[in-house]
Amino acid sequence: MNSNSTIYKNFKILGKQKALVALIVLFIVMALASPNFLTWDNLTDLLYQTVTYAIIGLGVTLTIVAAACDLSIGGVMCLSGIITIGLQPYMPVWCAILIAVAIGAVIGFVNGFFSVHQKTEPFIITLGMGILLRGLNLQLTNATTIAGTDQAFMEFGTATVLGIPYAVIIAVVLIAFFHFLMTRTSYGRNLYAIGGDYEVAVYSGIKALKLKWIAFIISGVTAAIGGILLSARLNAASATFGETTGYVINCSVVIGGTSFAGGVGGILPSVVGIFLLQVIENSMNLLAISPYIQKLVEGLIIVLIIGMDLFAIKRRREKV
Amino acid sequence: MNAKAATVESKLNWKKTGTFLYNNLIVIGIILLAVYAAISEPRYFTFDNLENIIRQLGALSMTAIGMTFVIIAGYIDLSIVGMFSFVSVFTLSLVPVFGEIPALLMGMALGTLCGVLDAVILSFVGAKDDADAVFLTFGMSTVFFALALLWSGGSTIRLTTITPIAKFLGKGEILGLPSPFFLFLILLVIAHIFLMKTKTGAEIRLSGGNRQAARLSGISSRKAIIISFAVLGFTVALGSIIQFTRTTAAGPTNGTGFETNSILAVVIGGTRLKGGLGSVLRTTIGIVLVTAMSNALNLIGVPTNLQDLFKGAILVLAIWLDYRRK
Repeated sequence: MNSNSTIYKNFKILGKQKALVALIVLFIVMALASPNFLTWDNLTDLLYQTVTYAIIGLGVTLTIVAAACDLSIGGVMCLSGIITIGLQPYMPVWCAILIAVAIGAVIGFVNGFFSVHQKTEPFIITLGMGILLRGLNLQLTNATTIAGTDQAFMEFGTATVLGIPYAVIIAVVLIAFFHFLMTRTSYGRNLYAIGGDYEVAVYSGIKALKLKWIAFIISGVTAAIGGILLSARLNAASATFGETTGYVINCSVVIGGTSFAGGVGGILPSVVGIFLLQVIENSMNLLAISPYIQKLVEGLIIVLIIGMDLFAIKRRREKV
Repeated sequence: MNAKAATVESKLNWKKTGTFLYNNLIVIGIILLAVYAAISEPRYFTFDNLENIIRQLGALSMTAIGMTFVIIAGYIDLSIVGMFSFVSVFTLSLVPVFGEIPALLMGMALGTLCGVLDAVILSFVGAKDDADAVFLTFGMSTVFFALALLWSGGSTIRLTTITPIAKFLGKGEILGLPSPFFLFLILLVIAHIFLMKTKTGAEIRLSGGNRQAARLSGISSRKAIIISFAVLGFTVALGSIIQFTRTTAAGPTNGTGFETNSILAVVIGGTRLKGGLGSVLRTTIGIVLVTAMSNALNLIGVPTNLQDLFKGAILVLAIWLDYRRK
């Protein structure tokens, strides 16, 4: 009886972690379907791609938990890459990196000003910010891909410790830190409260304005860090890298189980969601599916996942 | 006493002027830009350039009219990028097969259908505002874009023989003005009457303004969504037809930038992003301003990339002012 209920409980947890189940199933299917899937090269490639997006997803998760969102991250990611690569001839790399992160924070601050302090719709204001940044990026790079000149920076991008890439170590540390932040600190708990009900959070004495604003700044910073890691791996930067990144990462976070309704979700589910979308993309590449069909699948997945999330919110609303 | 009243009045007047300036900040800015362009570039106020502006207006003016309907209904549609491309390549590829008129009609039908599809998905999942619509319609845009790629094989399709309507729309003139301009005027009048004078139009405006109140007074918001998105789909089809008859070619990336420019035109015109308040006449002002701005920036010699930056900044500013106004 006792063991039965434990099994049932485990099943229930599994049912809630749809993304994790889908990820495991996809892994098994792909391992059987394609001999190239479980190779060292492919898995490292997959990991590199995932960690960049996962780091950006950390900040985005914070904003979505606080019942907002950040669509400008694609632009921030590109901009920080362009700054780190573009400033290399003029100053040491660490200096360029610091400037890139600072600019990410400033953009997050501006996003927060408009969408938290001025209470405009974060979806539309960060969308506009993304368009602005795209224009800026195109202008800075003259619509070309720029390459890095710094040897150390390039080596850092692909270097490994005991076979593990630096980028992965940085990502794991950041994920652990953000998981701790969201589950064990008052900041994280207050953010959930703000996302659940902004007014109630204000009345219960939470400095909602400030904390939500900080979430936007963090989102800008993590997007900048992601952009730096991406540019280090490619040793190049371009304005076109981040065209759809904003949507893809926001949707991946929702796939993981963090809802646009706010107040639910977490860091680890978001990482799973981002990993899942990357594995799907990787699988389609390995199975040599035409890029047009891939685009179609990408669009359908976004519509399906966001649609399911909204449908669940609607059902909950009707129940109340 | 009198003097005091006078000061109060003048203060009030100043305040009014201040509010007016503040509310129309962007409009004034663009007019100043146009004046600057006219002074520094004598070509700006020539008839040739005016004709040029009106021709450039073509496709955007159509999609912006449709976007006004969707925004007044309380939503937003990013899928017009993909939709525009899909309808372009679809219609153009059908012209040699079915003849011109059937192909254009089928294109319009496809555009309307795409719009209705968006609306059905949105209302099925219970999307309640523009925030929900942003992501769903982005997903739909990717789907339409993929369909455009699949349909065209990823390449640009060309109109090999210039058919009569294509010649009329692309090159033709009436009273010395480009013919798409008159198509736009007809659409504008119909859209205005439909939105302002008919029962369905009133339902769209009401359900965008206050969904709860609209529902309680027996208005089906589902109907309002479907009709406004169908109008958008239809206008996107018209816009894409005007575009490819002018350039005699259609590619899967034809629609790039139309969502930004349409939203920009609607918001600068003064239609409220939250829904309910606005009109196609306001959007017309917005369209003229956006086009005059691009044209002025082009003539002054601002590079295209910097123009994107400029447009993004104006969009952010316009949205911000829109929220502050209420």
